[in-house]
Amino acid sequence: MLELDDLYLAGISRPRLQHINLKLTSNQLIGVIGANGAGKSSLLRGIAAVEPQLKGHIRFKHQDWLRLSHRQRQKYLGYLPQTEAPEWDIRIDELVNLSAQVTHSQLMKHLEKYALLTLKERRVSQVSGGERQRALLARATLSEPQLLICDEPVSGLDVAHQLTIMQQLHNHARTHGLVLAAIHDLALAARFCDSLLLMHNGELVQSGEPFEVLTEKNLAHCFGVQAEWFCKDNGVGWIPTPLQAVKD
Amino acid sequence: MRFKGLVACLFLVFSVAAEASSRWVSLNQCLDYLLIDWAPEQVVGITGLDETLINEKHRAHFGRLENILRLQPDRVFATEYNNPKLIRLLRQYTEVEVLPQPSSLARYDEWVTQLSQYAQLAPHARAHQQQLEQAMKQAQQVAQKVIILMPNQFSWGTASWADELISAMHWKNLAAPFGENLVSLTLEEVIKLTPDRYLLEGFSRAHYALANEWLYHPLLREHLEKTPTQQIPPRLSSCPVVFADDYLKAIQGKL
Amino acid sequence: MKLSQRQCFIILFAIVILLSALQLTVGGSSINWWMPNALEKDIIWDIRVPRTLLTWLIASALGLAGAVMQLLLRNPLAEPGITGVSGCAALVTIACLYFGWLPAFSFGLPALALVGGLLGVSLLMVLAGRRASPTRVILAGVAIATMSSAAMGLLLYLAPNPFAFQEWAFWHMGSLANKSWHSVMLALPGIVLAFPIVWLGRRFLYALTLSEETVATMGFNVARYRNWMLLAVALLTTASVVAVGVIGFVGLLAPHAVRLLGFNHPKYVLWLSPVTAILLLISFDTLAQLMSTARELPVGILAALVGAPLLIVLLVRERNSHA
Repeated sequence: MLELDDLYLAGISRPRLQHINLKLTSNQLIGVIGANGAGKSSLLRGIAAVEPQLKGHIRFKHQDWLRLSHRQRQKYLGYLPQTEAPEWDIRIDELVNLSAQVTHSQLMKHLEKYALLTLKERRVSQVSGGERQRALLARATLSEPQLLICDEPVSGLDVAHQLTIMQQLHNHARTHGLVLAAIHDLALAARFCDSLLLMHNGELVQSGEPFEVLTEKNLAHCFGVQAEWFCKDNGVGWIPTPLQAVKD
Repeated sequence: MRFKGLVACLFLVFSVAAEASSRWVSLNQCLDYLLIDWAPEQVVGITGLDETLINEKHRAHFGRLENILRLQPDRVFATEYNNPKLIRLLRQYTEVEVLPQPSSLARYDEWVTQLSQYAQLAPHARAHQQQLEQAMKQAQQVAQKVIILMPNQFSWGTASWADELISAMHWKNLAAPFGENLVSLTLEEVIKLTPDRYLLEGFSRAHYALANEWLYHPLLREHLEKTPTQQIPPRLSSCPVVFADDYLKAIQGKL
Repeated sequence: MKLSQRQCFIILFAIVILLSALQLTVGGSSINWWMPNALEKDIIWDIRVPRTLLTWLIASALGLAGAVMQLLLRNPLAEPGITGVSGCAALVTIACLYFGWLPAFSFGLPALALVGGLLGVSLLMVLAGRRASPTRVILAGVAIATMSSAAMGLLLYLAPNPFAFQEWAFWHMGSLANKSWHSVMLALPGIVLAFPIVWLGRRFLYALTLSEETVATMGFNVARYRNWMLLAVALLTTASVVAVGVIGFVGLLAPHAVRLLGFNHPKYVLWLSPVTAILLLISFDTLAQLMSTARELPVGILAALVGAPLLIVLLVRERNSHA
């Protein structure tokens, strides 16, 4: 469904992206992981076509993705950037329906899916960070995009909201299409994602199932930690320890 | 006896020579015109605001103290609106004659009297007064209602020279009820007046300025076209006392 | 008692009508409205009615321009006056008028002055940058406004008419006095052109509640829409400046008033700002006429007296919210 062909993005001291080649199929929740500055945001922004300097080819459903017009891409694309703060203090239902493309009943159903019905008349300033993020996600998914891109959708949220949003991303992937999300919390990524893309220094180090990617070698090389993993039926947990221990 | 006569003759010669060689400087543009017209031989310095008056004999000082003193005047003619500091400084070096700026006929009489102190100026001053009285009498036959329009929505009210002349002719200055000296009128007030004659004073019509806004308004233009309108030349409107006779003729529309 | 949007709009409109009636009656002389004579009829039709209509036009232009700028720049402190756009339009207007390039009331005047308006918006975008903070926009605006103001002074100094130089202040504090139907005709084309442009780009402006990148993914060619909106701002600002001079702060106050009424959604801010702007400008103008003794107080002064303190309040609030 999505093919990335030799993507390259120039940077200041080193390229922000290089040698990115990838083929992804639909109905997956794909976690993009890596340390700070590894290129997660650059990759996601590149796929969302908001990086004008990006070189290379992207094919989505056999179409030349980057050559399409904004309007054509909009039919498939949903995007939630890293820090999104609505400038005006509007109501939650107005925020979700910002592009005003759906009917009232469709909007209500969508709000219900994201547990926003009780909040719909509250203003952006009157809801918590987690609720606001949920609303922004609801906005991005309103048109039922087949390609949903979220840059750190759960950073800075409390635990309950983190789990809720990851679950909603998972559901969206199952029902509508491909979801790409950059995630810092490796346990969360391992728990919810169908596969992971590990980024390091602008390059794609490895892609595959979570425990194919979260090897000791990769953890050490890309994150500078070693970890002990706990896998149970209902979830995944870990204890990371830094390789360079800080003395007490 | 002959010796006394000789001394008397010499004294006469010297006094005449002294008068003939007096050095007068004018501090005011209108006085420039006046002095050059009435006593050109006496004048050595003028303001220089009118470039056409400048020549070898009549040098421009542009209001600067050093330039004035360089001309070595023995008498400086100023008006009551000249810079008092400048006058005070000049008094340390020479005589200064401060003339009133007449806004009434009574003050005008004082002005004439003061000028008549000078032998060279006296006959001209008296002629000036007579001409003015003559012109005022002639106008009294047909009483008219007039209004003077100036840039930036100003007009002349009571206690102004223009109002004095108009009243002396037994004409009516329609701006008189609005106050003294320079008065501001709104456009609507001007429209409502129905003068027999409009007098436009001080406009530089050739070039655009917000000051001319009255003249750009179509309603007023309509009125100006339908009613006799007199444009008063800038030379007359800037020196209405010195050129009082012509100024009066302009108001009457006889220019 | 919470009012619905429709009720609010009707109330606002009713207040506008009332205030307009008041403005018509407050004039440079007293008029018998029941039985006007020929002169009074002329005054009503050629002086007062154009004045009220001009107030409506200028206010809606400034209100809309302010709203568009705020939505476009995602910044509640933006408006054409304090960002120097008005100053640049005034600069070209002065050059045309005082040096006789164009006669005082020709349609060429707003057309040529548009160049100034476009210069102003372009400079602002270049200096402030796209992801600029509100304070950066203000700083860039101050730089542009100061520069254009100084250039205006220089042009007026060099102008042939002797009264020109002292009129510098008048251009900065616009006035509705002594205007005629000519001024209405000068302002009309720009406004008539700009409103449809804003209408067509309205969804883009609403979408800018979110960042420009997100808006790009919502299907808008951001650069193209932005340029059209800037053109609209230039058209509206130029129309206003050419007719009455620079009146600042109305574009700041009007959208803020809409938000104070509780309407935060961009679509209300955009379309109610012209209405609140009319309300404000009519009030200022009526007050100016009532306060004036002989010479009429320029309405721009009252707008600044009310607007500048508000700007300070907004700046303080901005600072506190980031503290």
